This record gives sequence, C-alpha cells and structure tokens, in this order.
Amino acid sequence: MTQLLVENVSKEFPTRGEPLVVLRDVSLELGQAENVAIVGPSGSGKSTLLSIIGTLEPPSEGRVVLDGQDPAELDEPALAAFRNRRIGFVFQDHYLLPACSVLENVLIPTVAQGPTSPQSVERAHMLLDRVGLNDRLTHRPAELSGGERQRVALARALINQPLLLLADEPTGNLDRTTAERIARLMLDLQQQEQMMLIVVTHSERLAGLMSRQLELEEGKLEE
Amino acid sequence: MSLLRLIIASLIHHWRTNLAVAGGVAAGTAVLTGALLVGDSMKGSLRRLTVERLGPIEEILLVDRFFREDLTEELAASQQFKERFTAAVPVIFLNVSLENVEEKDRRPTHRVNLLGCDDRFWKHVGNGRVPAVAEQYADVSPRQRIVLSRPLADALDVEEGDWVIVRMGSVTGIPAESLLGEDVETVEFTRRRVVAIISADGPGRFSLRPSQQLPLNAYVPLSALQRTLGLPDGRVNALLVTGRRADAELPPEKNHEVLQGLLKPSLDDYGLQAEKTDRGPLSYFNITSDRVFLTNAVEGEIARALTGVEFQPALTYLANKIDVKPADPSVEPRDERSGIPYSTITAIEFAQEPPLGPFRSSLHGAAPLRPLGDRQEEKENSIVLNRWAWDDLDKPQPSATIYVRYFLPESTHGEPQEREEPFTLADVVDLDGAAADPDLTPTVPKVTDQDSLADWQPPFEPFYWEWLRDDGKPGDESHKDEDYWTAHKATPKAFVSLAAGRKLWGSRFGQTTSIRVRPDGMTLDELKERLLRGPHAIRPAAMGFAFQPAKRQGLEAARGTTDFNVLFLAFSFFVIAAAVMLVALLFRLGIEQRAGELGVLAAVGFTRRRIGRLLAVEGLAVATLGSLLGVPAGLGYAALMVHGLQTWWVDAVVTPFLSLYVTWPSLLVGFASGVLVAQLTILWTVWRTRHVAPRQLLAGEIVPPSGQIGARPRLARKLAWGTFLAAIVLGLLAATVAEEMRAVAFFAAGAMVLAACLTLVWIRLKSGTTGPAVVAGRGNLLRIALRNAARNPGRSTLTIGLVASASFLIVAVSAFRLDPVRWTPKLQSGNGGFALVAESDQPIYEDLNAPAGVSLAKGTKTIALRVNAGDDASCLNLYKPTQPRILGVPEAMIARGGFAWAGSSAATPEQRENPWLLLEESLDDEAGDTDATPTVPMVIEKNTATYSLHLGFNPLGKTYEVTDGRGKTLRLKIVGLLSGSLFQGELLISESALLRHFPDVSGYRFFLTETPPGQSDSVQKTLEDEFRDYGFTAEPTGRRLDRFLAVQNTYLLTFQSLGGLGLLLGTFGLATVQLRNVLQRRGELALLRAAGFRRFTLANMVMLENGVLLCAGLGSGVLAALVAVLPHWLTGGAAIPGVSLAAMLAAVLLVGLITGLAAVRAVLTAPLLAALRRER
Repeated sequence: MTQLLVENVSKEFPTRGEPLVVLRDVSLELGQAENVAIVGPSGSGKSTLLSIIGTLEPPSEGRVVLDGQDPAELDEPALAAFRNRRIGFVFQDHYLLPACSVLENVLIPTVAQGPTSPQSVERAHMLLDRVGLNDRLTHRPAELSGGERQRVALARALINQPLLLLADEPTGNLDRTTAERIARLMLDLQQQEQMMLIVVTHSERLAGLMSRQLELEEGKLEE
Repeated sequence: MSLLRLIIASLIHHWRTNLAVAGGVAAGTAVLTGALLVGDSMKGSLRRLTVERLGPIEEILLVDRFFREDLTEELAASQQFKERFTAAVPVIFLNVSLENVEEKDRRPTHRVNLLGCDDRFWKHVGNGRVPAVAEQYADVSPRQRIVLSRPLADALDVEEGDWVIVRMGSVTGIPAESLLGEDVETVEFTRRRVVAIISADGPGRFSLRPSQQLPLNAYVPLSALQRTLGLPDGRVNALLVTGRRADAELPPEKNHEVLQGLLKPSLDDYGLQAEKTDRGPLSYFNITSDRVFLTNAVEGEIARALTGVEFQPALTYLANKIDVKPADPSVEPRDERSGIPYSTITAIEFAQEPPLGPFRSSLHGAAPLRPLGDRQEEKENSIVLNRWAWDDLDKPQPSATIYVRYFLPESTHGEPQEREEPFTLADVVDLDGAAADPDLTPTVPKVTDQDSLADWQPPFEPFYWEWLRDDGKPGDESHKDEDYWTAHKATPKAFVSLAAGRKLWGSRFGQTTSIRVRPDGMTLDELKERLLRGPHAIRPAAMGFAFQPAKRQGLEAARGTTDFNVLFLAFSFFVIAAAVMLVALLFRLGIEQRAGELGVLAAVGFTRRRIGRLLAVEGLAVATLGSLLGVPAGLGYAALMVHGLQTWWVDAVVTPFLSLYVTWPSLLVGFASGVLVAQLTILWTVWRTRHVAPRQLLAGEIVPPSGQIGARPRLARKLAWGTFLAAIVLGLLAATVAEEMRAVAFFAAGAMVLAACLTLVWIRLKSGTTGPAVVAGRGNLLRIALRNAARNPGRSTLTIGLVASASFLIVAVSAFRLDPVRWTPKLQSGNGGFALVAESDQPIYEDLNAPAGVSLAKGTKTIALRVNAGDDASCLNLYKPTQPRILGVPEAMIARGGFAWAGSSAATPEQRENPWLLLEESLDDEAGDTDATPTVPMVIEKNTATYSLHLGFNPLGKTYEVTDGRGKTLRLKIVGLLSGSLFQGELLISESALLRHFPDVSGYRFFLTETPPGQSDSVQKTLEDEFRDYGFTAEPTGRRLDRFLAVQNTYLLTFQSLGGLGLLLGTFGLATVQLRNVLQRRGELALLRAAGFRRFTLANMVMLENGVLLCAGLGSGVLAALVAVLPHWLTGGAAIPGVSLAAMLAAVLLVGLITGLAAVRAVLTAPLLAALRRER
C-alpha cells in the first residue's frame, strides 16, 4: 500500500533572468518499509526533492501525499506537527545541540509539540541502546566521534516513530568504514521500525545497499 | 583590484552591518560630545550670569564705613580714569530684611540687598533702564519710595502700591561690641511704598556675590537712604566703576592697579581726625579716630606715614571708680559711694620734652616724671594720680594700693563685664602742664562734648548716676566732680604705663586712642599731606579701601566649582561603556558573518596582518562615519541633559539658569574621542581573531564551538562562598559605624555579594550544572533555553555581569541617597546633636540662652558663632568661591564637641575624642619657617574642601589662603574634616582666631540650638519672633542638611537615570549577543524546525534565552543592591526612590526583551534549507 506519493512535482527558483528549473514533473511512490536511494550529480536537485518530500519547502507544481495527507494543505503549526510525527531527518551535518547531552539531543523533537512523555524517554533509551550508545547518555556531542554523533542524529530522527526517514548524504562526512557501519545501522533500524527510507547520496556504495536506486538528472527522476 | 577598491566594495556590500556599527559609534560619540557640551553650557551660563549680575561694572569698592560721595567725583576727574573707565557710581549697599505690612504673620524676607542709588546707577549700571514709576505713585515722597526686583516682590507677595517695612542694621562708627558702642540701636525700621517692580535681569540681577540664584534686590533713592541712616550728606559705602573703554590698551589687571592708585581718600574718609591742640606752647598734633580706638592696622599705617617724626601713642580709658584700699586692714572698707567715679585714665609713656611733656611730680618738687618703672612688673603695676585725685582720695601714701574698676573693652553678649585692678601708687602729678590736657581723652559723642555731667548720655549700662558728686553748688564737697568737669573736662585723673593700659584695655578694636605728634615746625596741612601723600603715605587698601576686580573675579569664579563635563562623563559612564560594548559586538558580528570571506582571503595568500589592516581601515571608515553622525546627536544629548538640569535634576544646580552653549573645541574633541574609542575597540576586536585558522574561517567560524563540560573550579567556589560570608560580616559590622560611613560599608557588602553571585553563576555555567535540558513533562523549552545560555559560560557570565553590575550600581547608589530630615539630633552626626540652625541678617549681641523677657523650653541651649561674611562655598553655589565665609567656633562649642568626622590631625586621646580641640592649637611657629604669613587651624566639611576648594581627595593638612580683615594673607590649615555636616561651605576657625584676624567682625550671626525632644518647633517660633528684627531665620538642621544633600541626591538620580539609559543601550548589546548566538546556531535551529519545531516555538526559546540572561543579570544585581540598601533603609538613613527604580528596571527588562526580538526575527526569517546546507 502506497504511503508516500510524489506526484508530478516541479520546482523552479526565480533568478534575474529566466527561472531556474530544478525539478521537472517528478513522481515517486513508496510503500511501508520500502527504501530507496536517490543519486545524481551535484546540482541535479536531489536535496531539493528531499526537502519537498520532507515538507521543508513547497513544490512549484505537483503534490506530495504522506500517509494520506497533503502537507501543502496544512498551516505552519499543523505542518510542523505533521513533520514532527511523520518524518525523521538525518543530514550530512549532525546538528546536535552542543549544550545538551546525548540523551537530551535524542529527546529534543519530543519537546516540539508539547510535554515530553515518559514513554519518549524510555524510547530514547531504547534507541540509544540500539545505536550502541547506551553508555554515553550524558556525554556532550563534543565528546563523541563523528560516527557516534551521526548515530545520535539517527536516534533523534527516530524518536517520534516517523513513517518516513529522510537522509541527506548521511555518511558524507564519515570515513568509509564508519559510513558503512552507519548505513547498515540505518537500514536495520528502518526494517525494525517498518518505516520508509529515502537516502540522497553521491555514494554508490550506500546507494547499493538500498532496495531501489533512482537517478535524478536535469530535474528528471529515472529508475 | 586595489586594496582600497576591495575595502570600498566591502563597505558597500556589508552596509547593514557597517551602519549598525556606525550607530554604536554615534551613540558613544554623542555621549562624549554631549558631556563636554554640558560642561560648556555650565561655564557659559555662569559667565552669562556674571555679566548679567554685574552689567558694565568692572570694579567695586565696598568699605565697612561711610565715606564722602565726593570721592567718586575726585576719582572720575582723573584723566587716567577717563582713559580706562566710563563712570564711577556711588551707592549705599546694605543687607536688610523686608516685611509685607499687610501680612504680619508672614515671615520676613531676609538677605535682601538694599541699594541706595540715584540716576547715576540707573544710567551707568542699568544702561539707562530707569524703573518706570506709575503715574499714581509719582508723587510718593523719595523718603518713602522703594523699588523691588521681581523675585523679591514675589517672595514678599507685594505689588506696586503696597507698603513694606525695611529692617536694617544701624550704621555707627563705634563697634557695637566695644564699651562705647553699647547704646547703639542695632536695628532701624523704615516704612516704604513699592513704586515700581523691575524684572530680574539687568540691574534687577545686580549682586555683589557670585551665585546662580536670583538675588533679592531693593532700591531706594540714595539721598533718602542717607537721611534715614542719619549720615552726613553725601556719604556712601560703595563705589561701582563701570565699563572699561574698548580702546584701553592695558590688560584688566593693570587697569585694576591704576584704579587703586587713583583712589585718594581723605583722613575724613578714613574716619580720622588730625588736629592741633590749642595749648599754647604745649600744642601738639593729635590724631584720633571717630571709632575712638585706632585699630592696630590703622595705627600701623599712621606710624608708617610718620616715619622720621616724633610721636607717641596714648590710650585713655574710662575707670568706673578709682579708690584706695586702706593701709590698715582693721579699717572698714570704704562704701560703694567712696572713691572717684567715672574718670579717665591715660596709659602713656611720660615724655620729657614739650609739648608732649614733661609731667611734673607733686611729691618731688615738680621734678619731671620718668617713665613708670624699669622692670616690666613694676611698669604694669604702677599708677600716678593727678593732684586732684590724690587729694580726693585723702592723699594716700606712695606705695598705697589704688584700685581701678573698669568695664572690659569688649562686652559679652551685650553685657559689659566689670573688673577691678590693683595698682601701686608711684607718684602724684601736678594738674598743670602736660598732665592738664583734656585732649588726652578722645571725643566720645554725647559725653566728652557735654558742658555738665548731668548732660552725659553714657553709652553703657549700668551707670550709677548716684555716684557722681554733682549736687549742691560749686566748691561743695558734693559738687566736686561737676567742678572738675567744669574746670578740666575729661582730663585724665590718673596715668599708667602704656603697657599696663594696653594689657587691660587693649582689644581687637585697638590699643590706642590718640597719636600725639610733636610739630617740630610742621603745619597741620603739612602733617595731613605727609599722612596722605608723603613718601610713606597711608595706603588706602590697608585701610579697607581696596577695589575688587569684580568682573574679573566673577568670570574667574564662573569656571565653577564642579567640572561638569567630567561629572557628566562619569554619569554617562554606562552609556559610553554600553556604546563601546555595542561597537565591539556589532563589529565582531560583522566579522563572523564574513568569516568565510576572510577565510578565502587567507587561503588565497592574504597575510593576517593584511587582513587585519583591511578590517582596521574599514573600521576606521565606519568609526569616522559614526562619529560624524554622533556629533550632531551629541548636541541633542547635551540639550537633553541641559533640559534635565533645568527640570528633573534642577536640585543639582539649585535654580534653573542653564542654556545650551556649543563650542567648536568640544565638538572636535567629541568627534576625535569617538573615532579613537571606536577604532581602539575595533582594533581590539580584530586582534582577538588573530589566532583563527583559515580553515576555521572558511568553515564560517570565528570561535570554535564549545560543548565540553568543564570541571567545577573548586577554588573559585570557595572564594565565592568566602566572599559571601565576608559580605554578611561586613553588613553586620556596618550597623556599628558612623551614619555617613554606613552607606559605604553596605555598598561594599552589596558589591561583595554581587561578586559572589556572579562567580557562582559562572561556576554553574562552566560546570554545566544547569539541570537537565529535557525531562519527562513540561517546561523543557525553558530548560533548553537555560542550557543554551550556558553554552558559552564566559559570554553569558559577561552579559549577566554587565547587566548585574549596572543594575546593582543603579539601585545600590540609593544607599547614598540620604534623608537627613528623618535623622534625630545626635551628637556624633552631621547635625551635631542640634535640632535647629539659624542665621541672622544683622549681628545679634544678646545671649540667645537667656533672651530678655522670653521663656524657652527647659533644656534649650544655643551656641552662637561669629561670621566673617564671604562667598557661599557649599554645593548650592556653582561659582568658585573667592573668599568663603568663615565662622568662629566659640570655646563652648569646642568644649562640647560633636559632629561626624571624616578625619583629623588629632595627636592626643583628647583630640581624638574631640577633634574640635585642634582649633585651639597654635600653628604660627610652623608658618614662621618660610614666611611671615600667619597660619590658623581650620575645620572644614570634607566635600567642601575637595570639590569646592579643590584641595584634593585627602585635604587633611593642606592649607587654604584667605584675606584677613586687614587685607593681608591668612593661611588656614585643615586639621579636621567634617563628614556630611550642616557646616558644608563654611571655613571654621576658633572664635579667638577669628577676632584676632577679623577684628571688625561684630556680634553673632550663626546659631545652633539644642532643644528638648519635640520642642524644636516651639523654640524655633519663639526665637524667630523674638529676633525677627535682626532678620533671624531658623530651620531644623535636617532641612538644612536636606538642602545640601538634595544636590548630592540629584547627582545620584542623574547617575541612576543615565545609568538606566546605558543599561537600555546595553540591552542592544545583549540582543547583538543573542543575534550572534542565533546566527552561529542557525543550522541547529533549522534542524529543529525540520524536526517539527514551529518557528514560534523556536522564537520563544530564543526569547527565553535572552530573558534568562537579562533576568539573571537584573536579579543578581538587584539582590546584591538590596543587601547594600535595605539595612540602611530600614535604619532610616537611606531614601530609596522605589517606584522610579522599579519603573527603570522594568523598562530595562522590557526594552531588553524587545531588543531581543531582533534575534527572534532572525530565527523566524532564517532560510531553512540554506542553513541546513550551511549556505551563507
């Protein structure tokens, strides 16, 4: 059953001259527990597509439907709540809060929409256990290695049990071994959580680990 | 592409940031320039007042006696005068009290300047502005006319046509406190009708003393005042010289010298008479004074003028009784009526040659008498009776004891004190020749000029008429005294040595009654010529005829006691500090925003030095632009401050008189200072980035991100708690120290609490122990905000510290806002235990402890002080004092002790216990080492010494020179410093020293009264009613202190207000810090938005972070301030303006939160994706 529908999405940016078209009529469907890698050269619109799917920016044309909901129809508070509950993000940079501990960083998304529940705290512990950091709960990001930081970022992305995990070059800043380890961890968790996963990457190795590979070239998405 | 083009391009590209930095620079420059302009305005306004006060007057001659009006014409007739000045205007100048006839219950208006003047005054001083008298009052007699200045009319609540009573001191040549001045009516009244009221400018502003306060002036026709005062026609006591001619080539100092040289008073002007006695071959020249005694200064001048001429001084005094003690002790003492009543005794060295001698002995065959005794003791104990007196005393044997009863030459509180002195009869002199000389006795009006004893009008009481033997007929025993008077008038009946006479009857009024000059072929005119024009002629200045360069002194005094530009720079400290901080923060923000760009420059080969130079030149351009904007803003700031001093802070300057004055030097200095301070700040900011690696810059970082938890600094923690404990101990100890020091102690305790608080905050932030950031439940946003505030402990502590320090200082200076009205009289305090302080316009001679016919509450005690008039040196007068007022502290006050002291030179336990005793020390030996200038110990209020006389912050032991009563320099050495005293502005020396150096000071004009609790109001009313005629005004000591402290309190208010302004500006800095934080964290914030945080939630978080810092700063500052202020407030010492302070702090909080919105806006408008991709 389709849980993510990207339908005829186009995106263009205004410039001094002609508008810059980044995405042209892109469509994509994804079902529960599916994963896909999107590859393509720099400037092909991979991250833009990811942002549109992640509701971080609206498409110029077309629509995105996640879990039966078109987020374009939501106002800003509802959209934020939607994103909070349905989508998890992992970026190339971990963007951990340096002042907060590992556990607190994981719990940060729970603060966004109201009081943090004890269940969330329990889940945070569980996730950190799964990413192998249950002994580093009180450490600050500055006290972690790059791979560890990205594992925290992964746990943070999963704290609200999202339907969709979006990863933008999640291993771009890591060495090959660590990148491999993080990629496998991400896939394991995706399977365990039964969520959809879209990874944008230049890395053929990472793309190869996904069940589907799509290529974005000159704004068009091809299988 | 040159470096210059790169700089210009960069300046244009980053115009927003540069404009913000320029704004900060402009704020700082505005404050610097404004403070300088406030100083300019103060000086300019004081100068303007001086010119208004004196008009065209350049020099003033004010004498303590009345001299011929003709002296004016004689002076003005001189060619040299005409070359330099325009006119000389004679006036009578008196201090009087006025009262509204219709409102008897209203207190009289005191300290009024009464001018007796005529058309010459209005023409030359008033520039032709003759008061316009309404038609209906045109026929009011000149003797009834009075013109008032508007402020005086308002004070009296009178208008044209109303009647007023003028109370003025009587004018007399004879000092009222001398024996022969006793009958002088000290106060005279006249009733006058107000025929015109003139505005308080031009002649309406005229005053002799420099003060920014409007004088209370009254004007009456000169001739009418002369008649009222009973003066011979054409007598005045002041002379005003106007308008130096524009073409005068000489400097003002030289003009002053020339003018003084042109002044040629006559002997009559000096009150001296030089006459030739009508005694045939024994005739001589006799020089006497209309004040009976020749003062030492006058005698010295005459002696100087008579160099080379033989003369002798004589002192003739009145003996109430001359009697002989029976040689046989078994004989009954003679009764009260025995002896010779009311006779004169002359103290003289017997001359041997005519016409001044010889004095021939009746007992030794008319042998000439030798000067009495060779030995000092013998000299002082011997007396020679004339033959008549010897006979009258039944021819006592030589060596018999002769008693002389007399009144002391100076009365005490108006009461003559009688004494008796035993002498040994040395000889008897024949009543002929030199001894039969009535001219040995000076003229005493209404006594020596009377034909009969019955016509005497003795100037003192008691006078026992029954003692006089003037009954019966001539030749009778009962008519003896009348017979003697008829035959010999006031011829002395006894003689003592000059030394003995001077010892008994010499006083501050003099020790000589006549100077007898041997003619030696000289005519009287030649003698007068010698005295007035001879090679050693009497010097007018030494006789009190000294012109004061009023305009020059006034303009000099207009430089002021307080350097207002420094004062306002200090007041504006927080504003300047905030502006500097803002410049630093904004410029750094600009660098951070351009970190990548700078990284590229570094990467392509720019050296650090070159990059630094690039930024410095850019900074200089921005600083110059900011300063250019700041100078006109400074004009606005100065105008605002001047407006403040005219309105909200008017108590600091007592009366609104200020105008805005702008000078080019201040504008240039303000501009240059602004550029310099800003450039230094910018260079410092650039210098701080010197260690940032290019790679880091390329990554957009100026400071590496910090996230590691530091260890708890144990030592700092111990230190903080130790400081806290010490503050508590100091606070407890503060309760035991003197009132004035208590505020300082509390302030120190508060500062220590603040330091401890800030250290603890820093430790907490540094160690990361701010509690969990996220827990199950609510409030996580605040927790995260708190944690974020701890991300950069140094920056956050600095921010908190800045806000805390500012709010602490602003609130804690309230501890220095004293409310003396609430103070009860206490011996060791600023009020010295006195409930009332009073002053009178006219000197009072009566003892206020026992005023005749008045009953005062039991326990009321008044101490009276003598006053040598002078400039007001208190903080109420902004002019620099030339000759401050001097008070004479009587022995009773010295013995009593009291008052709070800031320091003293006490060397003994007694002096330490009572530093007033130091006034009795003799310091002349000390002065003798270097010069002949006498030195007298002085006590002074510390602030007066430091700020008014500019004797430094530790003035103890320093000296201050004044001009004594004889025009000579007198050095006053500070031996004691009073603290917060009602004696502010006064120089205090012992009464004996005052009388020694200012012998013309008469009576008492300053009073301190102790009253029983709750009785001060009734005592005040009783004394004011009783001494109303003297212009006696009393007030509670607390109110007087309050008036002084109003200035200090207003300065504090100004400091608080400008501190608040600085704090407001500081909140912009806080916002900048917040903005920097937001920009540094925009990636994180974007991630949070991606994770589902609403923009509004994130904005809230940033607001909370801002609020946390702001509240922590305000909270710890106010907490520490409360430690400083509360105890002092609870004990009644401090007056905290709670509402205005709370409003100010609330405004700071509000504005701080509002300015924080800039950071919030950055959050709300930040492009999400760009941040996530680290795009800039």
